[in-house]
Amino acid sequence: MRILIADDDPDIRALAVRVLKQEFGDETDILEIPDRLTLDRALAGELRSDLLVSDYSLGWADGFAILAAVRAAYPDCPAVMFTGTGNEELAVRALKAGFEDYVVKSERQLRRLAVACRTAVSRAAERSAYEENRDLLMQELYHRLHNNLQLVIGLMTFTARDVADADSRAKIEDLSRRVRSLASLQEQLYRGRDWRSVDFKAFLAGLIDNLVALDTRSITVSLQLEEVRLPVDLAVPLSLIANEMVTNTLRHAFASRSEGQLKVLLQPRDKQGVVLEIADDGVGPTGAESETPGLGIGLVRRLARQIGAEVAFGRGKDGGTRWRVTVPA
Amino acid sequence: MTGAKDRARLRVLVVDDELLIADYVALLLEDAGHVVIGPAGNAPEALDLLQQNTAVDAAVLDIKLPGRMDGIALAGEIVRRHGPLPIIFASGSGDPTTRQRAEATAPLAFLQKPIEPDALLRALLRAASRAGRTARGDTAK
Repeated sequence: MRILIADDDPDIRALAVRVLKQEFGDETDILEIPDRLTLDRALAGELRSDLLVSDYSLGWADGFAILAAVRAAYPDCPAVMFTGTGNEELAVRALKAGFEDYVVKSERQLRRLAVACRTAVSRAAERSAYEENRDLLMQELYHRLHNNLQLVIGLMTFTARDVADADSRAKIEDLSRRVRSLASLQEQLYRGRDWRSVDFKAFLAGLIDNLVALDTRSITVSLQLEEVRLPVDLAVPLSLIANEMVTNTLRHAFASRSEGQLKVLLQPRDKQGVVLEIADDGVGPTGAESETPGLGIGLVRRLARQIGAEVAFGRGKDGGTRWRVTVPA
Repeated sequence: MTGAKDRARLRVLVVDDELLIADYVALLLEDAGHVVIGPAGNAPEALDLLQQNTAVDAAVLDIKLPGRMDGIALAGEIVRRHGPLPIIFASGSGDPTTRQRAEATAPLAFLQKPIEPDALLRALLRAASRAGRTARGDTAK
């Protein structure tokens, strides 16, 4: 265990060392930090730090700057402010800045310093154990989820094999694509390590890559994707919408041609809004949208309604079909 | 995508302890004209299969396997016993350290489950070109 003590006054440092050795044992590695150079060296080394005790006002820095420097190197290192210059306002600031506790320098408070440090260290240990458990749990859940999705996709593939009718088989394959698209969004979410929002640009690029790769014709893809992070409850329906629109385009737009162009645009709108556009240079809309057959369009409508999005469908600039989904801010 | 005429027929070892997933991978490979060795459900079974079938061109290995040897260790053991073999890892785990361990063995590809069929077949094409087998003229059924 290693403790850093940042204070200009050698007597105070010596006092703190004595109190902390009493509390944590003689073998505790306590490093006195009288200046910036010593701090920089302590943070550059291989050894981690388990606790910072810092004064507020030092000749070469203040306690907040020291905490920030220590946390940059050891994000989980707990800290206690030990100061003679403070007042209530400073105490509040210290707690808000991430110090675990605030102790006033005085003979009577030395015992409190020991207790504050002990509490800070055990809280940090609890936090780290909790985080480790949470990470393990997330990994386990992720593994099960992905393995099970893989099983579901495998089962759908076997089922499709068993079906003689080509139309039914195609429907099962559509279903498999939808599940794969959800799985790929899930992976993007897990990779981002931010459970509230997902990198939709990366997801969309991967989705289009996968869907186009399954097409045996020569499809030229032009992507105009901007950085868009979406909350999960918006990203899931929009991912399915994107899957339907691209699948639909690949299925109907290029009819008997051996090549085609697909343009995809993703743009943020105001705060949470987003525009997703998919256009092709194919045969263009053949009739009213409602006449276009298939479950896909129905799904797009239904999901768009869920997220309050507008769906526009018509002839694009290149003569083909253009889908435009606008999610309001 | 590749047309049937420029497809290479590879002999591919498949290892996954979930037999339905192994069957699914085997189906994807066979559909693309490859020959499946296995599938094996664990590392010792895979090593036995390799002992009997020396002409193997690539392996698709699940990482989490029962027993003492996981897919990454199995890859090391295969190379130790039989020399270099193009490996494709397929993993359901999102654990970054597992991924780093796997990437450190310089595999042909690291695929996240659910496997995108095309990513698997594309990776195998790279194995084919490495092995120089695309010119062999084997075609799919």
